[in-house]
Amino acid sequence: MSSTTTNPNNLSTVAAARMANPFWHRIRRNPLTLFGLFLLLLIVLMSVFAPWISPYDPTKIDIAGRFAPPSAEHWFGTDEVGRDIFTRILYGARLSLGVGVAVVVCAGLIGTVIGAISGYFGGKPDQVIMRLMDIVLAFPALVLAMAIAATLGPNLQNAMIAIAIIKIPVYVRLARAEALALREKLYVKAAVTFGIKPWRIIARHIVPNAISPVIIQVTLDIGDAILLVATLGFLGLGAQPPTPEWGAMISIGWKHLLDYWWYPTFPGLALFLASCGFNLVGDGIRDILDPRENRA
Amino acid sequence: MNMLLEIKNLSVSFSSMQEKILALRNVSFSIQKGEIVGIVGESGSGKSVTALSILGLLEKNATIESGSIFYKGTDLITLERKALQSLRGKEIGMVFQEPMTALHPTMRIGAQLAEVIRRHRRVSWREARRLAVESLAEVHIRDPELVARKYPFELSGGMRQRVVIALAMSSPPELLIADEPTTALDVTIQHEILKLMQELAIRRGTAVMLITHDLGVVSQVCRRVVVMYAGEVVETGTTDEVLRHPRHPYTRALIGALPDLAEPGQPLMAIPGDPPDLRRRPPGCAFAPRCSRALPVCFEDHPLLELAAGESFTHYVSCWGGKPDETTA
Repeated sequence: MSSTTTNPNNLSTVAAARMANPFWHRIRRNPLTLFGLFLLLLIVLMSVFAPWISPYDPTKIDIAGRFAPPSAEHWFGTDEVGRDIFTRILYGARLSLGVGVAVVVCAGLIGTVIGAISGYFGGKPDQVIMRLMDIVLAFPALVLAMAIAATLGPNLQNAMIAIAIIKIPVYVRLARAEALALREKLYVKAAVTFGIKPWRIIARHIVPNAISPVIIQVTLDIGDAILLVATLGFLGLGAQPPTPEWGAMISIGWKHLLDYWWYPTFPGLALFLASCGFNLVGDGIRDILDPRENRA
Repeated sequence: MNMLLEIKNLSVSFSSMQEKILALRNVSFSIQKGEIVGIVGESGSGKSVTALSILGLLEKNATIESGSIFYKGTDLITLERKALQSLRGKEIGMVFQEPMTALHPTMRIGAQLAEVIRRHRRVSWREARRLAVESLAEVHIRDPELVARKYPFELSGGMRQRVVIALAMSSPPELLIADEPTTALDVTIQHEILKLMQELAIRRGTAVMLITHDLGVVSQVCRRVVVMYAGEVVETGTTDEVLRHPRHPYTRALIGALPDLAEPGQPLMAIPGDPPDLRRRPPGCAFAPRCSRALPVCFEDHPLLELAAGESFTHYVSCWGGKPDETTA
């Protein structure tokens, strides 16, 4: 009984915790976000400590032990040349997460700068930039990414460039919209009257104040980028074998689905959980940072 | 002559859709070095447009139709953008009406000051920080070290306006344009801010162009007044001349509407009617439709800004004279 009744003392500690860290307090009240955070933490820790978790080498070939089903020795079984699938998933997580985060952060930064410039100066340069972005947006994202990756040549680096290019317009639009509003703010105008140069106003006044919607979009996009990397890998346009990449693993594995179900299933599951985790966390951060969606 | 700023026949128009609106019409006045000049008029009379014209910060839909703005002998209108940019903040500072929004919300006060200081002086960040704290002390902020580390939202309105003044005065400029600097503040703070600006102006020899709609403010600090109506200068002279012996009916009406000067128990004398629609300027005097003493000529011909009758050489008025005053002359 006494534990369920809220005494004033208890209340004040909750309030104090809330004051100390409002961000964490709000995450705690959102079980889905918490679950996503847990997933991500798990994946990150496992990928970081991969060499200690698994005794196998992700590229070590063992023809005699090919297509071994999941067992105590090989938790997720082995592939067509006897490599341990669990180990390859762990190392693949390093690549997928790293690439996903790197691509989206790059796209976010580049997009924000372009958008801030476009929105702040307005006029003709703005028109030109926005029409270019419209062209990129006019294509289905995946098709354009495939086209760019195929044109540049199939390897991981080009796949990253392709994904960054298709992601940039979203950030340009976000940052531009913010810049258009910020340009009219008195403190920006005041900075102009103090003789501050335009590029400095963009760097110090526009970009830092336009960044919050971009951050939300970045967290939402990482999951998508991981999927895109895997998709390009699956299509042979991304990481090339024997690099342990989830998409490439699924690509080879799906031909063996009926005989050796574990081969494509586990990388697919890993991919699902990773993008799921990022999306849940992204949604959570959006809810927290968006004051308009403050629910009781 | 110690002429700092001289505006001659400045006309500015705004174009919206198909219409063209003449916001300023033949505005002429001057400010001498170290002088505090009040620009008075109601909303939409062109006070702010004049200020923005000087700084070259008019919106894109505005065009300067004619006239010139001489600053120390160079015409700012023909000055190239780069040169004007370095003039802004260094030689001409500006203080805004809203201290609440004139500061960068996510930058510490000290950093904002340091940035402006570094823009115009070649000093290290460390030196700029020191100067920033110094300039806060100069606007009578107690504990400037502490305030420099604060964010704008942690300060009160009066404090923020002091910071804004510190920002505008940091170079220090020769001309400070203050666009209704005390409107958003309460009366006691208003007085302090005015005193502060007056003190800084005297100490540093900065000329101040004080834009206001408050004649009380003018009488407190200004040496000269420019009264504007519908984008035109209707009367100008020393504060004493204009406030004690107003010649233009509009100025008289403004003074009559002042609570301080009204007879106790008598209703305030509001000016009947509204300011004219600038899209359809009357051919004659812009104030004629609201003027109680208008003559037929007032509706047909535009009066010129001429030396007012009297011994003064500084008092100018743009009025046909009107019917003789029914009350006291």
